[in-house]
Formats: sequence, structure tokens, C-alpha cells
Amino acid sequence: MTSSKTLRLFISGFSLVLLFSLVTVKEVAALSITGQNKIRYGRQAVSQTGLTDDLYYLENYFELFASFEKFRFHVRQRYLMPSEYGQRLDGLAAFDKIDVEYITDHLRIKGGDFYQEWGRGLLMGSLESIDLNFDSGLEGLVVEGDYKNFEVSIFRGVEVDTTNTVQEGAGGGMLSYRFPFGLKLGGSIIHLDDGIRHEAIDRRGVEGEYIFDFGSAYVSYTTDSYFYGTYPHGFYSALEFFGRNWAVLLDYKNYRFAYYVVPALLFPPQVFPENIMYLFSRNKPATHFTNDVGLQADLTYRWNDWDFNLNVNQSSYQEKIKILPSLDLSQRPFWSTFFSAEYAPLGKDRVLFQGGYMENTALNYRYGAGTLYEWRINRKLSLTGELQFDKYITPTWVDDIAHWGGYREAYLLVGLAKSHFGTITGTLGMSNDPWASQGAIPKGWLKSDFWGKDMYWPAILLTADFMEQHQLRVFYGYDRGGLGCAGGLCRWVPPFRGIKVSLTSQF
Amino acid sequence: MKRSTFVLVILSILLISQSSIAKNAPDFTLRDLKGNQVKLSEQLKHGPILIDFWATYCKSCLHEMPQLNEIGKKYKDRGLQILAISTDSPKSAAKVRPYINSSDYDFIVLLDNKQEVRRLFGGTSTPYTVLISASGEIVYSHLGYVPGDEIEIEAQVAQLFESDTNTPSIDSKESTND
Repeated sequence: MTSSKTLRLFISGFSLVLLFSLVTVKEVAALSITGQNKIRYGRQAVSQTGLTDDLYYLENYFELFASFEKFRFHVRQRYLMPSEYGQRLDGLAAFDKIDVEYITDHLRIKGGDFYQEWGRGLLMGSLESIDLNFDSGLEGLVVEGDYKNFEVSIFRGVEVDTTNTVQEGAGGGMLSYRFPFGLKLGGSIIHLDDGIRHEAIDRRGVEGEYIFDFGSAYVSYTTDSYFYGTYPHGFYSALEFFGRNWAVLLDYKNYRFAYYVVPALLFPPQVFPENIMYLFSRNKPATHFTNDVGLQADLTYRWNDWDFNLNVNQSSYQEKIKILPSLDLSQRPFWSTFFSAEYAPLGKDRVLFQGGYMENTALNYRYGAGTLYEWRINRKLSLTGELQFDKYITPTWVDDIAHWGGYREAYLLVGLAKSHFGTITGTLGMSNDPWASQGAIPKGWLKSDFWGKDMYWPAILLTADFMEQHQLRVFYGYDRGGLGCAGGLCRWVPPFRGIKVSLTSQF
Repeated sequence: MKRSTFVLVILSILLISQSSIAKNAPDFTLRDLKGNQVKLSEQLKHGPILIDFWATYCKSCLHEMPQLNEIGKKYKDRGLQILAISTDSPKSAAKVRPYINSSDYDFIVLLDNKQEVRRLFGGTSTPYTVLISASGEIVYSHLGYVPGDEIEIEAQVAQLFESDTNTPSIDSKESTND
């Protein structure tokens, strides 16, 4: 038995002892045991929807934290039988995250699995998203501490990819100092060992943050030593001003990174809005992710019970560009504008207007608008209706002449919610995009052709809260898929037709 | 692992989650928007705490926050504090300050960029609300927000003040200081 397996056997036994103590020991001073469990099940049958996979998944995530005095223990068990992405994990291998921490007021020592994010992800950004099947975590030792106004963080470990098959050494440290008048300056060094996915990489970075009475300013810069003679780099800055009922955020990025196949070094800050209307967010382009120069302005204004937001973004490829984004088509310029206006008096009906415009790539355009009304039927019951439209325009080139065409889409949502009981929500997606038939309801099932040659994606979602700590979600129907994003990390979610069930429990 | 074993494990976990023993809130330290460290156990010395795990890209979180602010105002004099813990990753962290600073919320806003504290409290997504008594016991938690949830949250807060005789009220603290 390898030492890793012995460790995991020990940890799994320790977990069982903790669980046993949870149900048998009534009071243990200063001991805290918390955690969560999530079961996910999905079944998609091959049908006339154009989908090719007979998808089935059954997953269970169990996470346990035990805190006692200055120690904290964490273990996660992940049964995949198989997962949504076809992976299988069971037995001892299912204990995929284990760590132990020693924490005092000024010192934190952690051994096991950990994540590090420095410089808002520009200097380093190892993270995990279970929903997106992404994991760029590390296994090893990390020490963090602070003394007076100094802060230090040092780590050494191995990078582990999502399938846990590739492991490469990594180490680094970051030191920062916070001045009493609101200025913080810091610097970092990271070394990634020569490995299967990459040669040795050295990344050096600096960051500065200044917080003042009416705003803040943030800058970070990093440069890498990679192949001899190449020096990828990245710069990010954000400037924020605010008043009593308004705020302006201006951010600027200039990235020129190589594709390292090392996720932890490839997630610089992306402030592109995520909470835009559904028809936009599912098509949101991941433009110029590691090679771009861009500007963004975000304005928030509040007036009585109204909230207004305006977001403007302009970017292009970084090659040959020194400072500002280019409008040259060869540089793939990207422009977007989103707005929303919401009237939400406390405890009363709510109405939302939203819309915008964005380019997918040069010469492709998408614009649309939507509205939402939430009717507070009584104190605990509400009914929500939402309608969105958008139009996509793209040219077809014949003899150097552009022939403009495209498609239209609509999205309808009706939802009834009862507080602390559950919700029932029906959605219907519509499109006359001839390339979007995957996952749609078979033609002829719905007689109506709203725009002619329409595709439909009807679905129903039920959620139920019970026994205070459990939430059940059942989805049945047709899901068109699209881009799924969480915290700046995006993945293409494939179309789906069938049933998905999840049960989440806290303890 | 056979499916029957899998089902057995799941049932055990569900039973454990329903056990009625008191749950101590795990202690944690996070930084506020000005970079100061805030420790849960220190804050509990001032009274019970309502924690709201939220994110700028979570629409229902933004709808819940004005409601929680009203509850906070109503019970502030009795010592209730609201910790609004942002789970925005560093990639969207730039939006936290503009949102909070342009609002009139009376929250202590903390940053949980790695979402470690949210997971520590058993939260799988946002919004996630946790009510902690002054003695450090988790008395209520709720995942998600739909209109009307604030009624139950306020009822739980009111019940806590009725039952928790250990809660140091503002009056008692002032009299102690005197």
C-alpha cells in the first residue's frame, strides 16, 4: 500500500470517528462539526432531439469540517458513478480533498489540499469549480502570517489537474506591507518546476492598493520567464469612486500570456458582468482571455427605489498594441454595452428592464432587451414573469460583398414561489437559428411557428425546502445549453434533454 | 462501491444532518473592505450575528440585502450585527466596493474570496443565511432567497432574542461600563 493510500485510509477512518462523535457526543466544548452533502443525478435519453449521448450520472459530494481549538480538519468525499463528465471515483480514491490547518490570530499553517489566489488572480489563481469540472488546486504545505503591517504567504506543493493524473511541483511566496494611510504594496515570486505540461516557469509580480475616503485604486503587474527570450506579461488596474448613491468603476487590462497549460497562471481578472440577461449570458464570449487589451466602465446609480446600472466594455487583441484597444478588424475588436433599470420598493412588486448590445467576434452583433415583473401576491407568495428577445446578425461574404443575415431568439419564464416552501418555474426558449436544433423539442410537437422554422426548449424546474436543512431541485425538459460561468470561470454547457435531480443538505 | 452501499451512506448522512445536537459556529477571521481583520469570536462579544453569504453576480442576493438591512436596523439596538460576507472571487472583487459604497447598508462587509468560510458553514451556493447566537451556536440557516424569506428570518431573530438570555444587550453593556 502506498503512503498516499495509507494516509487516505487513515483520514477516512478519522472521518468516521468524527461522524460517530457527531451523533453520540452531545456536548464537546469548542468542537464544531459542520459540512454539507449534495447528491446529483441526471438522465438523458437519446431521442429525436439531435443529441447523441445517452447520458447518465450519479454523484455525491460529502464535505466535513471539524474545528477544535486552533485546529481545523477538512475532508471531502466525492463519489462519481459516473460523473456528468464521465469520470469514476469510489472507494478510498473518492476522498479527493483532505487538509489540516493550524490557525492562530497571526499564523496559519495548512497541509494537504489548498488554493492560492494572489493579485486578484493575475499573479496566481488556483481555484476549483465543481459545476464547471475545473480544478487547479495544489497539494502540499502553505504558511500564511502577519506581523504588524506585514503579511507573508509561502507555499510548496504539487499542482494537480482535474483528473489527478498529472502532478508537477510548484512553490512561491508573497510579501506585502500595509501603510497606515491606506496604501498596500506587495510582491510575489512563483516557480513552477519543469514537468509534463510545461517547462520551468518563473513568475514575478507586484501589486498596489490604495483605499481612500471616496474610492480606491488597484494595480498589479506580472512578468514571466518562460522559453528563453520570451517574457509574457500582464497588467491590470481598477479605479473606483463612489458617492452616497452612485459608484463608478473603471478597469483596464493589458495581457500578453503564453498558453502554458497551467490553469493557475491563466486566470487574470475579468470584470465582464455575469448577471446580465439570460440570452446574453449564455452567449457571452470569452474574448481575448489571455491576450487582450481592454477598458471597462461600470456605473451604478440609485434614486429612491430605482437602481440603474450601465456597463461599457471595449477590448481587442494585444498584439502590436501598446496601450489602448484597437478598432482594426484584424485585431478582433469587441464592444459591449449593457444597461438595467430596476424598481424595487421594499416588500412590494418589482419590475426590471434590461438590454444591451455585444459583439461576438468582429462583424457579428447581438442586441436585445427584456423585462421582468414580480408580483407579491401576499407576504409569502410571489409570481414572476419574464420575457426576453434578442437578435443576432452576421454577414455571409459572396464576392467580397456582405449579405447580412442571422436569427432571432426569445425566452419566457413564469415562476411561482412560496417562501420557505418551494418554487415551480416554467421556461420556454425559442430560436429560428438553423444551427441550434440540438436539444430542442422535435419538430411538429409544437404546431406554432412564432417566427417560422422555430426551435423550442420547454422546461420545468421544481425546488422544495424541507426540514430546514435540505433543498431538492428537479429539472425536467429541454435545456439549450450555452456558456456557463461562475466567478469569472466559464465552460460550454452542452444541450440536455431529460431529468436532473439534486438534493443539498447542510449540517 | 455498490449502489446499495451508496444509498446507505446517503441515508446515514441525511440522518446525521437531522441530529438535534447544538452546533457550535466555527471561528474564522476575514478582512473587511478596508483591509482590517475581523474575527467571528470577537464580534460575538457584542451580540448575536446574522451572516449573509452573497456575491455581486448573484441577483437574488442583491434582492435579499435590502430586506436584511431592515432587519438589522430593527434589532441593532438589541445588539444584532449583520456580517455580509462577499464570496466574489478576486476576478469580480472589484465590484464589491462600488456596490456596497453606493448603498446605504449598515453591514460589516467581509471578503471570502476562496469561499472557504461559506463552505465551512455548509453553504453550497449563495445567498446563504446563518444566524448565530451570542453564545456561538448556529440556530438557523437557510439557502437561497425568494420573496417572503425575510419574514422567517426576522421571526428567527425575534425568537433568538426571546430565548437567548445570554445576549448582551446594548443597555447591559452600557451599565457594565458604568
